[in-house]
Amino acid sequence: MKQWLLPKSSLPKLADTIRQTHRLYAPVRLPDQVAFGEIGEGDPFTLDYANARTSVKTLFFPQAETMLRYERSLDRYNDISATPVDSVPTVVLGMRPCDARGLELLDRVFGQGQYHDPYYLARRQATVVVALACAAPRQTCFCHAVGGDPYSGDGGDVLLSESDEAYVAVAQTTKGQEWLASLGLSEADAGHLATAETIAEAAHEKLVKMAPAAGLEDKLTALFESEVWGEIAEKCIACGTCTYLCPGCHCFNIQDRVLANGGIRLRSWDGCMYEGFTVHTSGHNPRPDQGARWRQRVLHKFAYLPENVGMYGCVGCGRCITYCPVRLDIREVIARLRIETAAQLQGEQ
Amino acid sequence: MSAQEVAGMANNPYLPMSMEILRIEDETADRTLKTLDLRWIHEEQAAAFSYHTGQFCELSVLGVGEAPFGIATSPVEEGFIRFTINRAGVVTQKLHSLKAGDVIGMRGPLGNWYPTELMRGKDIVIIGGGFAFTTLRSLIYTLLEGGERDAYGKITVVYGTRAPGLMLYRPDLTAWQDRSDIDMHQTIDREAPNWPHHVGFVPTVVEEVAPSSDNSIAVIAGPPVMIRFTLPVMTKLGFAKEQIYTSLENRMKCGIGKCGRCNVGNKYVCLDGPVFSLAELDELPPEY
Amino acid sequence: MSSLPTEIQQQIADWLSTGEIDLFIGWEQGSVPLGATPAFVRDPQDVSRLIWDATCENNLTAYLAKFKGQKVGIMVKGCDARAIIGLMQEGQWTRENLRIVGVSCPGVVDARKVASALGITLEELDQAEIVDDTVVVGDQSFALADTIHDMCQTCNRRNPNIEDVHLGETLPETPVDDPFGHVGEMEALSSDERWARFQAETSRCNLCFACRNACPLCYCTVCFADRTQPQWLTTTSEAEDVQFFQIMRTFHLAGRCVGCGACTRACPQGVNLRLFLDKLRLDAQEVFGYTAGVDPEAQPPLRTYRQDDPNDTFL
Repeated sequence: MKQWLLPKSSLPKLADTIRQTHRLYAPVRLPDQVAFGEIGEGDPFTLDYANARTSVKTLFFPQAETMLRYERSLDRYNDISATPVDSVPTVVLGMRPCDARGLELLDRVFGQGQYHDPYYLARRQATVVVALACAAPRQTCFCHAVGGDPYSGDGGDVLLSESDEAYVAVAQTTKGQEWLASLGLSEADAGHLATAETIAEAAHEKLVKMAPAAGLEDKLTALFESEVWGEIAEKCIACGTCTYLCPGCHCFNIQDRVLANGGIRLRSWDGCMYEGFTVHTSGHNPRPDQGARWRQRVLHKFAYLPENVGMYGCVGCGRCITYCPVRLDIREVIARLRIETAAQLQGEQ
Repeated sequence: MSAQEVAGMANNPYLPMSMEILRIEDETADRTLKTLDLRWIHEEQAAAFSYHTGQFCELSVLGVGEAPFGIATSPVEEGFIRFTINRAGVVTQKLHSLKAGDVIGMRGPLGNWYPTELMRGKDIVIIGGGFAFTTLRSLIYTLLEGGERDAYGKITVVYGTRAPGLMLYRPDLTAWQDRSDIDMHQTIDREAPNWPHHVGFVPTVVEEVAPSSDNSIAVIAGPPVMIRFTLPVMTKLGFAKEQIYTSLENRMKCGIGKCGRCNVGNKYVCLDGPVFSLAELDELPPEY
Repeated sequence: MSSLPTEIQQQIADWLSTGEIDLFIGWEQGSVPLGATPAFVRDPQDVSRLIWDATCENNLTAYLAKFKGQKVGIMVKGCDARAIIGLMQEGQWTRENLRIVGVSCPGVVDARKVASALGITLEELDQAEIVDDTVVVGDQSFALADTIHDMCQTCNRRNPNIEDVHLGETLPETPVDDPFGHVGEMEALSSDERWARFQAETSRCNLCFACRNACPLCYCTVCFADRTQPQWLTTTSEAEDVQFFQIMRTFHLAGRCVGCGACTRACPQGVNLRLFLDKLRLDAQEVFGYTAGVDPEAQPPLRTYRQDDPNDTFL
């Protein structure tokens, strides 16, 4: 695989080139956060940032999207007038490997099996994802404990790695290969490659030590009846912030909105943290308390998704840890569960 | 809508087909349940629609919402598809207010189905309660009228409701009562005038009828309390968990295993179910 | 470390061992900088986990609804205590079932201000400590008083008005010049400007409901936002849903909000929610002469009628 050199100074020019044929999203530094925004002519953006507050899944699986538009007719309740699907050619520049792995997860959930989600897949197929490896993992980063890595290329089409005033760009997919080849870049020289290597090593040194989650998926379901879930969830206020910011969370609601001459059926984010998520019309709720709902969150991410699609539902980005209003830390949850599963194993022997 | 548009819709599992209401009538005396017979507006979609007994569809009323309903017809009944709707919430209330000629939406067929292949060469015990009988009607019709009655052994049915007026599909029940190739046992909770059949709760009647578990498959569908008390009876009669099937319900939205809402353990009721054997349910957490 | 003084630890432990309370809700050290986390202590031996310092921002009274009918001990700052009285005013809690440790609060730290002062985002704030009256980040330090939340800088109720024991010293209640200055600024705008300000502020909201769930007075079993019959809003981050929710929640708290600010601190997007709630709090004072969370016997103005209620607010 060819290794190209992308000088940092050429980023504005790269943006201009991209914008001739594609819609461009890149990180923008705002007063109190970094957010991915659409880049117009001359708009500033930066690749010098930790992570965006909102995960990049928003660009592929927005908080709300119209699935269909319908017209109102007397006695007819199925006159669909449009099914908007977004397949505008797009480049997303500079997302972190954790966010890209989140897309890998969504690819499997929405793109595998008997049914495929056309809204997500259209955006995904129309987009070149240029991921940016992490030279400086943070205290809240734990991608390495859930099957990821600060230099992982999963889910991206291209991976950029920090070097001396430049990035080394390597394609991860055929799409990425073709895109890189079209840019007229030079190949990376030995010096830049060596620097990139050194930076990568230092980045891995910075990772906070944490035992990998591997193996947990086989033991968690045995804890289903345990009281540990109620204890874990006691301080959770069920606000859904963790769900909204998580690159892997993808549960959604379908609601109809009536407008003047018809309306739309829209898909919007929902979450297992909310009490009403599983409540039946009869009032019966299979998950009647927050402990049961936290159990679902953990089991879905650490047991069911590994079994069903072969990867964890958590990518270790740390957003939920930073933004939870009550500082409920999923790393502490995993550590607690490890103790519980070990205790249970001991008890059974 | 052009043929192209119709074909395009096939690639989008969220788009409902247009269905015309042929008939909408009260199914029960207390009018909480209505039966809808629907026909396809687009012939191509009717031709492409192929389902198995036990599956469900999402019925859609644009501007109100969607809800899942078990298919009450058998695939051998051509030209229409039947659902029985319990008026409980927003969508069902709207469906109840519609009339013949109105057009609604339908997505399907969804979910898995009753294991009729496994039932070949075996005796079949069908136990139903209340308005969960919808897909059981589909199953019975398929077994009797599918052109292969000889492929199956003895068919025993126990169906119970609180009162005679709450029985679903009474003309069908009466017709089956008279047949010799199916052993029907209808029951109501308490005595009622002119009731010629059983009186008693379903678990009690099952115990009285005592169907043999030898080379048998059982399908049970009903309110949770009925299932809870029927299972010990089945065990007593010698039925193993692999021999008993049930149809689960859970809150649903997408119906295709994407929205993450209806899961029981790592299985989605809409995709891996709604039909599960008790042995399969044993492997799953009690979260329904 | 910010452990509780021995005598307070002992008091809480005694309440638990004698069964006067089944549970004590306090704060303990969290895993991210400058944020304590709620602690639920049932074993007297666990009281050593509890802390009190400027990172203890959560209003723990929001958890009381979960333990209705039980005997609960709780630690409250001045603002939190008002919420307990608010709950008593609405018949949600009885005094006998509560054991309250009151703490005088000089203000709780706003981690965003620290990050902002360093020119970084919250994600990039890897480490920070409170040492006496300063916030120390590496080799930089800030006066704690400069990093506390805006709402704490204009606080005029630093001491709890309901408690069984008091931790530490009582703080002087220095009169605050203009506690509703932020509201006054908005009132001075034209109607169009005010609407634009409201739109701009709420445009950051993504309807996660952290504000509602952190609020002690939002205790409805089924919130209007969660109903389907009728369905009041869809759960998108679009203006029509967000504005509807924010306006309705604000008005549902009219005359009931005690101004604790938990909602504003809980919001992950930094929406200035107290701007709107404080407007209605000011209205309650000016129109009905009423302040929520002060007198357990008093009734919120929208729940009662007096013959001499002012009529000039009606069109």
